[in-house]
Parts: sequence; C-alpha cells; structure tokens
Amino acid sequence: MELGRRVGCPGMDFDSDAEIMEEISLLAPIYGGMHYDHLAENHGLQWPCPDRHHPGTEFLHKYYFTRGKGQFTITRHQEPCEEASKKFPFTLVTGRGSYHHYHTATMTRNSRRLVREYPQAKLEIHKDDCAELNIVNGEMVELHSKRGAVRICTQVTDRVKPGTVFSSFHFFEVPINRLTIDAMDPKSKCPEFKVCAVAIRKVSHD
Amino acid sequence: MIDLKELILPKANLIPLLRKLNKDNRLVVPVKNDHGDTLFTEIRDLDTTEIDLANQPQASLKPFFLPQQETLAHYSIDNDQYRFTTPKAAVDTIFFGVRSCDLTSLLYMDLIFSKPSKDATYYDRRNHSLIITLGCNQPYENCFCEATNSGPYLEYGYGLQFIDLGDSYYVSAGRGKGADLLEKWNYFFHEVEEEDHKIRYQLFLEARGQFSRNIQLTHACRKLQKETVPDEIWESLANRCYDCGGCAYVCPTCTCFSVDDKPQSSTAGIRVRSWDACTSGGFTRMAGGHNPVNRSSHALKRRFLHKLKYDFSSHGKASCTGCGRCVDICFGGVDITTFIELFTRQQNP
Repeated sequence: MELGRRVGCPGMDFDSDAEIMEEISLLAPIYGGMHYDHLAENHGLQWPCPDRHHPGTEFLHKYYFTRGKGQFTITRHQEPCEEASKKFPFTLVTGRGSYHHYHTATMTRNSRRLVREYPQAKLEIHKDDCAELNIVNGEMVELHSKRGAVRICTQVTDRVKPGTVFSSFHFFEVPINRLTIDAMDPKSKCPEFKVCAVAIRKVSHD
Repeated sequence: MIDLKELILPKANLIPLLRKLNKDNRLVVPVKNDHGDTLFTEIRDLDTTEIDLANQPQASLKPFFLPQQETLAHYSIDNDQYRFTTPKAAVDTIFFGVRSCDLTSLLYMDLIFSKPSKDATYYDRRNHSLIITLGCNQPYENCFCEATNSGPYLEYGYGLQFIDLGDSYYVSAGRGKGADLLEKWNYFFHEVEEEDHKIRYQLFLEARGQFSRNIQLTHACRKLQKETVPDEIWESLANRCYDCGGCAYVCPTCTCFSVDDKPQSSTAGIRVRSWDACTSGGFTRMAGGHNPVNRSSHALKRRFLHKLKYDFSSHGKASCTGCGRCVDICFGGVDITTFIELFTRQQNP
C-alpha cells in the first residue's frame, strides 16, 4: 500500500489484508471465491475458485485437459536478441542463485540462517575466464551491458561454461535487471532474461 | 532397592484420569490434524479431540523443550545501561503417549543442556514436565530402536510407562512425580496380576521380533573407534544430500542452535535462539569465505561422526535413538541407516 501511495496510485487505503483480497476476488475470476473467511474454512484454496461456494480445484487437469486434447505448436528457432560481441564478450544468464532465497528475497532475507547460507549476490564465472581477466575468487568487478552497470562479487565455479556468467536476481543491492534486455518471446511474452551481452571490468582502486 | 509401583489401568479409565491430570497441568498428546498429520498437540478438550496412539508423531518432543525459535531475553538500553528481562516461566506440562525413542532422546538432551552449566530455559521447561510413555507393541516401518537400545519398552527415565495389554494398560511408575501421581489417583487403577505380567512379557518379545530392519549400529560405533571412513563413502552420501536440513530438524537428538540478537528499535531488542544444522555450508564457513568442511564431498561427515563416533566415545552410547524420522524425511535416501549399512559392509583395507 505504501508503495502504491508513493507511486500515486489511487484507492490505496485498505484497512486490512482481507479487504485487499476482496478486491482481487472481484477482478480475477479464478480468485472469485477467495475471500479470507472462505480461505480460513478450507485451510487454503487452490485456483480456480470462481465463487464463495466453490471448494477450490485440487487437480486442474486430473482426468482430461481442460481445453480438450493437448495442442502441439511448432516454434521456429529464433536467435537471441543480443549476442556476445567484441565489446560485450560474455553472455549473462540470470536466475535463482540458490534455493535459500526466493525471488527478491523480501521474506527469505528476514531469516538469519538463510542469509548466512547465501549472504550476497555473486557473479558465477568460469576459472579460465577469471585467469584471462586476471580476476580472483571473491573479487568485486563491474559488470556492464549496453543498458547499465552493477558492481558484483565474483565466484569462481565450474557450473557455468567459459564465456557465460551467471547472477541471481535476489539482491536489491545488485539490481541486475539494469543490465538485462527488454526483449521478449513473441508468443509467450516471457522476457529474455537468460541472454544478454555483458563486459566485465576490474574495479580500479586508485 | 526401591519398590517401584506397577498397576493396571482399564482403558475406560484413561480419559477420566487424563481429565484429572489436565486440571493442574497443560496436557500434550499426539493428535491427528485436519491434514492427516499426527503431531504432539496441547489438548484443551478431551471430549472433542481424539488422541492418536496408533501413528508415530511426525515431530518428536524436541520443539517443546528446544523450540525452533525462542526468545531467550528482551533487552533495552536505558541511559547507556543494558537491562534484560527473561521470558515467562514454563507451565507444568504432562506429555502423554510419548514413544520410548523420544523419551530416550530427551534424556540425551538433558545431558547436553547440563554442561558446562544448566541451560536455564531448557531446564525450566524440563523441571515442569512429566513424561508418560507408551511402549511400542508394533514398531513402525523405519524404526530401529532395538539397535539403539532405546525401545520398544523402557526400563528407566519415564514418569510413567504405559504398555497396551488390549483392554487395559500396564503402568509402571518411575521415580518422583510419576510414583506420586499413581499414589494420588490410585482409585483409577487396580493391582497387577500374574497373568498381566505374562501378557506384558509376551508382547515385549513379539514387539522385538517385528522390526523389519536390522541396523548394525553398535557394530558401526565400535568400528568407527578404530577405523576411518573412506572418502568414497562420504562422497557418495554428499552427492545425494541437498542441504535441506530436514534430518537435523526432525532428529530428536540434534540440538545445534545459533543465537542472534535482533534489534527491535534503537534502544531495545531480543536475543533469539534458533535451530541450526551442521550439514549447512554456513555452519562452518569462516568470515573470509573459507570452509574447512567441503560440502560437496563431506556434507554429512560431521553429522554421522558426532552421533556414532564422538558421542559413543564420550557417553558410551550413540546419540541416535532409532526413531526412523530421518529415514522417513530424507528424499536423497542418505539417512543414518544408509551410512551404517555402507560403512559396516565395507571390508578392512
């Protein structure tokens, strides 16, 4: 609500979480019956739950697909929007870095045990690339793309191939989406977060 | 020799007895919840809540004595002076339907929390508790308490021990509060007859014969005193450990914890103790990032050696009580029985 108010969104004056859920149930048909009292009676509900009398849907596709027979679609390969180049020689992949954190870690970073297990954003990089760039494990580097830059700590690993680097998106201190691209899959509209060209620069200490 | 009391409680008298006990005590018993999980639960109404003595509770008594997270103290800073307040004292609690393995685990926790000095919060709860156990006539699928010498029936440690004879319970009293309780409520009970003795002994023998797994735990403990475990065994286990911490959390004898101070404002906060697990990478990782335990190859070494080697050499007994919960929960299949089987099968080099 605070965020909504600050960005100037009208109607951000709910008295309770339940009231927010009421509004959601009005707007999203699959959540139509998900009022707080109904949720409590049922120990939670699974969507679709179109109205207050609906018990929720335990299995969405139990005996048949809801659309009838499954539909196969042909998709032609399309090259990523941006490939590694001379100026940006690495391919950056972003994703969930560890099962200790979930998405933006607003909940998981409240747990000290989870924070201890995965305390900060890391740029996973192959040891051959490190040697070439004269970077050591744990060194702070600058990561650049055409769109922006972040500072991030390296972690030498064999989980990524040479030429590819990986970073999680859990940590607000390292806003990795300043670098990622706004291209998306034309059919699924899934953003192309897994491929963008980046350059790694040593941080100068002078 | 103290003549410890043994009496028979007709099953029809169980609820009336518990009702009496519940008047002056909080009562915690196994209850099956709406999701089908049997858990130790504080019971408020004996008439509407059914006690589940058929299934093994999914969690042990550990959370009642060492909660997953507990506030040890509140602190405030007033004129540069720290002031501490400790949480409320524990209430008298009777635990009923506790299995032999879980009581044995509690006796181990007593030992851990007594050194170097008695842990105040743990012992406050412990001193306000009375444990009524139920001997197991039918071990569960993954149980192996016979191998750990912690069941199916117990010889000591309990407040009261119940053995199910069919239409009655054979009740033995431990020292102290348990014996007092039998004395106070003796009109619910009647004397033990020769036939009851025979039935009890017969049931005990049958229970011992029903374990489906033969775990060479003592052999493994002795072998560990003389031999080192080959790295290949640690690696094969670590390969399948996903660091979920499930084994440590369900284990009734895993007592590792961490303490954090959590500021609540600029002048006040709480000191919190929460469960930890030696299998986590962060448990041993140092400030500079170096980790003396290589998780990818030796993640489970500390866990198994602590339970089977170090505790065996310092207390003469492994700190595994055969409850089988880690076997139930580990989705990688690398529980303590897997280790024991791999290690005892391994020939001397």
